[in-house]
Amino acid sequence: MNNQNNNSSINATVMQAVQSGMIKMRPKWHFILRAALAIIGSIVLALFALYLASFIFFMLLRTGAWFIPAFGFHAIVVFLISLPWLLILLTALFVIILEVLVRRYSFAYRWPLLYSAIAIILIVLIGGFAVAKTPIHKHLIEYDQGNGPLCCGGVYRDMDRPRSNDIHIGMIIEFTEDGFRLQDRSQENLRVVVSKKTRLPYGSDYSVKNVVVVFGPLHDNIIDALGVRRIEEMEPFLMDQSGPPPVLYQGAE
Amino acid sequence: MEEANDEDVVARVQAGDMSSFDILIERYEKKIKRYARKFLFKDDADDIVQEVFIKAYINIKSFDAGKRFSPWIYRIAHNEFINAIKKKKTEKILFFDFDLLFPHPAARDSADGEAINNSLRSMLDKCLDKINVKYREPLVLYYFENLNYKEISDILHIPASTVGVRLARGKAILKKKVKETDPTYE
Repeated sequence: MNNQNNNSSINATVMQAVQSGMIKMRPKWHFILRAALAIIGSIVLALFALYLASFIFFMLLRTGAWFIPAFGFHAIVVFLISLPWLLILLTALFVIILEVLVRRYSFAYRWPLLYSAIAIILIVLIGGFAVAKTPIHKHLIEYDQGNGPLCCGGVYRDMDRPRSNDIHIGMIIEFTEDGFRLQDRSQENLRVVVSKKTRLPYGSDYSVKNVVVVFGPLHDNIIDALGVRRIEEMEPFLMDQSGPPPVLYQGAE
Repeated sequence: MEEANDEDVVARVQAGDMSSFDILIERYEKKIKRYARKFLFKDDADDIVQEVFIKAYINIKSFDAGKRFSPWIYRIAHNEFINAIKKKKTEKILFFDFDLLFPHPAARDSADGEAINNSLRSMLDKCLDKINVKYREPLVLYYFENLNYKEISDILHIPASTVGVRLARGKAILKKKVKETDPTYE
C-alpha cells in the first residue's frame, strides 16, 4: 500500500509539473542541431587530424627522415629522435577526442574500443599519407615561402630545416674518387665520402641528377656516409622547389 | 481494446498529448524504482526516479520512434544513477575500463533455467552490496529487469560480448562472496 502511494506520488508530481508547464519538452530542432553540431565537430576534428598526419608525412618525406630507417639501428634511433613528437601527440589527442565522440553512437560502442580506435588511426594514417602525396602542401609552401601573408602559422617557412644533422637530401652533381658531390636544397655543395661502412640497401647504381638521401655526420662540408639511398619516386617532389632552381642542375642540362 | 505499445504512446506524447506521459510513468515507475533500489541500495530513491521521468519528458523528442523505448528510458536512469554514485563518492567509477578495449568471445544470452536464475536472484539479494558497481549493474539489469544482452549493451553503451564477460565475472564474484558468508554453500 505504502509502495503504491509512493508510485502515485511520483506520477502525480511529474504529471503536475508537466501540465503546469513547469517542465517543457525540448523542441525537435534542439536535438537535430545538437546532432548536427556533433557531426560537424567530428568531421572538422577528423579533417584536422588528417591534415596534421599528412603534414607530418610530408615533412618526413621532404626532409628525407622517412627514408633513413633502412640504414640500420643507429639510423632508426636518429629517425625516432627526428620525429615531430609535438605534432604526433597533437594528432593523437585529436584521434582520442574523435574516438570519445564516436563512442556515443551504436555503430561504435557495439564493438570493442580497439576496433573503432584502429579504424580511426588507419583512416588518419592512410588518408594522411595519401594527402601528403598530393600537391596541397607543396602549394602551401610556395604560398608561405613567397611574399604572401603568413599562412598556417608560418610552419611551411621552416619546412626545409633539417630534422637532424645526420640526414641530408639532395641531387648528385658529380662523382668523385671516394664518392660524389651532392647539392642540397639550399644549393650548398657537399662532398659525400662513400666507404666500406656505407650501407647501400637499394644498390649502388646511381647517376648524376639522381636525388638521394645520405645518412651520416657532416663536418666541414664533408659527409661521412653511413647510408645512401636513391629516392627516384620522390625526384620531382623533392627537388621541385619554390626557390630558384639549382645552378649546377641547369648546367648539367 | 488492445493496449498501445510504448512506442505508440511516446509518439502521442511527442505529438503534444502530454497526458499520455502518465501511461509511460505507470508502466516504468516500478521497474525504474526496483533498478534504483538494487543498484543504489537506496530504499527511498524517489527523488532520483522522479528526476529520471522529468529528464525523459524533457528529452522525449530525441527518442527515435523506430527504436524500442525500454532501453532508452533505462539509459536515462543509468546516467542518473551513475551521477548519483559520483556525487556521493561512496564507490569508485573508473573513467576507463580495459574490458572495453579488447574483443571478447561472442556472448550469448545465458540459457540458465528459471530455478537457477531464482537461486541467483536470492544470492544477489544478499550480496549485491559487496559487488563492484561495474559488475553489479549488468547483474541487476539481467536478473532483476530481465533485459537481454543487446538491451543491456544499448543501456550501458558497451559491446554485448562485454556484457557477457561482466555477467560471468559478476556471477563468479557473487559465488565467492556467498561462500565467504556461508562456508557450507556448494
